[in-house]
Amino acid sequence: MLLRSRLRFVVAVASLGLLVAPGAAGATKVIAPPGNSGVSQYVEVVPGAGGSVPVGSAGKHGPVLSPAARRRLEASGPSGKALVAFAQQTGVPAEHGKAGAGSGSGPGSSGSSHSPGSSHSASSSSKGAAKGAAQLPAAVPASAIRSGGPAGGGLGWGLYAALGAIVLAGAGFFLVRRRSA
Amino acid sequence: MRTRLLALTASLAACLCAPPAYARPLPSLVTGFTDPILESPSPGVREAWLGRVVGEHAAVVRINVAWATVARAQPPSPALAADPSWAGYDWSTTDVAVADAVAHGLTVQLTLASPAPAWEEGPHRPSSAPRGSWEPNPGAFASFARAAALRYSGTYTPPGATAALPRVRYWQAWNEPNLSIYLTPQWRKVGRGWAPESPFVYRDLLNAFYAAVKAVQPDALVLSAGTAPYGDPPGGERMPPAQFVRNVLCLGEALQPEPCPHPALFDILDHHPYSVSGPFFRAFNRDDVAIADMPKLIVPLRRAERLHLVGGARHHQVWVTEVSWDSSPPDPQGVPIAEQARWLEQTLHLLWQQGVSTVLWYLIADQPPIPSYAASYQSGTYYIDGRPKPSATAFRFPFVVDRVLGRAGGSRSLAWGRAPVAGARVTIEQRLHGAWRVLRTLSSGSSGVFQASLRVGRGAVLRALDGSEQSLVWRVE
Repeated sequence: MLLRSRLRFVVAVASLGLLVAPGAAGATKVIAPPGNSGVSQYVEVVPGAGGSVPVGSAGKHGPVLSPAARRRLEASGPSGKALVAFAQQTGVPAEHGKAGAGSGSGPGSSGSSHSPGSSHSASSSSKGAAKGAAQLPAAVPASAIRSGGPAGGGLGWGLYAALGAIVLAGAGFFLVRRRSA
Repeated sequence: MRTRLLALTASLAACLCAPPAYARPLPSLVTGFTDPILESPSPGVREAWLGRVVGEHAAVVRINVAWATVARAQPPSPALAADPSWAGYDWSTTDVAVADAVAHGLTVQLTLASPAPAWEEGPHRPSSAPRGSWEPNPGAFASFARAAALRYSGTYTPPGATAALPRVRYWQAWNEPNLSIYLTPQWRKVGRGWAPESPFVYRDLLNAFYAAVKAVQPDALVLSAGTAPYGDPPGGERMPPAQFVRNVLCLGEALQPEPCPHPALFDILDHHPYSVSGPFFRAFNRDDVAIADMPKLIVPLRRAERLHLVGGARHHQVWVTEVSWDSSPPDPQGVPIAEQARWLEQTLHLLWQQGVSTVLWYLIADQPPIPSYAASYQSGTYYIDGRPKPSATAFRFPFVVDRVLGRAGGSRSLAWGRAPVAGARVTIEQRLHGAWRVLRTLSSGSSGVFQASLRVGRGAVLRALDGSEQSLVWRVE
């Protein structure tokens, strides 16, 4: 009786973990042109291999760029290689403010492409997030990379929580059925 | 027999008389600037910066006209909407900007763009759509374009003025229409998915604009809107530019022709290939277009030309009216100052190689860091206080030397540049043992562009000279 209650508890907790875990691990990264991390209309959304990674802990969470993305950057020359090195060495600064998806707050005062009036709070935050990161090669500013995309960021630790919850739920279900049988 | 002999002789004569490939002038590269500072309300500011534009040997300046800024009131009739002298239009800023630029010998490209006046937007604008972006009325846009084309036709004298306003020959319809910040809707919901919508909204605007401008100035040239370089997945706020352009050109993903009742009408294709890394960096996503990805737009364009899916010029020019990087200093996160100059030169070369005929650098003057460096642009070839950066020399006299694969499998060095003055004699020098020695002397030809194969290896330090002007020093990598 006690064991069955415990099993039900485990299944309930595991199911709760599934419910609270975010959706699929389709994490993306957003890269801004050097010096313009506060202008979202020219950021490039890059396929990522995982969720957002806190600064300085990239090694524990695996690569922050997908292999294809890494190869592309490395093939683009010294600047691209420096970008890869930075991303893998320091992790990706956490995204602040609105994700970069051209979500300007409104057109500029003229017909020019650039709307200073539509800057985002990410502008100072993204630079602040670079503090404490490893020294960058001069050609690659820290603000060039930030995590997240239109979905607001990857799973990060949530991926592992979700996987753990799935495993627990499966184990719990198996044990309950076996017990019932 | 006699006829055949005559034909053979004529052919032989033609072959002998035709200039060899290496002696034919290389395609030209026209340069210029896009910079709001050239539209400054201060005559002194305009004068100072136009002077620097001229000093950079730039030929073209782009001036933006915001529809809602000019149209202060709703025209009571279509006739007045197309009238350049209607009192509801405020052309004052544009008049002086155009006049001053032309007075400095520059060619003006005028971009008529968002925001659209509120009364010219489509009905039921969602609250999420930026103001001035929602389904602008093509007919109204055409009326506005007609008014502008008349005003800057070279024959229009404003009331009270003593001389006609100068003529503008290059006209552009809208700006970055693949961004929701400038044009909506980008997508429409179809079942559980999304279908492109903005290319078709834009094509209507473009075609109406084209007809209006050409009716006033048949020999004017119309540019399609410069597309922004990156997009989002379907349903997002941006459409990838290659997808956007294919749709405008009635081409599918595999460049197969699509139903096209109203082919797009324009003479020049424009793009803004801002790169998140250096000039040789290729965009990660298939339909995004950075500096090295221009074929993603040019190949569909040529295909549309062959299939008669696009109107306007028979052979469309390709322009880039915005590209640049912020420099450090002054932007702490910008590209190092020397790197900015090198990347500028490589960008001009790479775009030229891909068939781009005109490149406008975004900004001649750094902007003040308001609200911040990250949200403003310090990509000028000059600092805000007027001091030149190394990129000012790079822009004026671009010179690059690349290692390229040779025919026999080895490598050789190929120098490329554009002399400040077309037709000038250019000298390429190499620094050896602390002294400069002449390596090659050649003519820049009528286009100003020169190219030469050099027997130098990695680490060679070179420069180009054109009379009193000299390029930046280039180290072969």
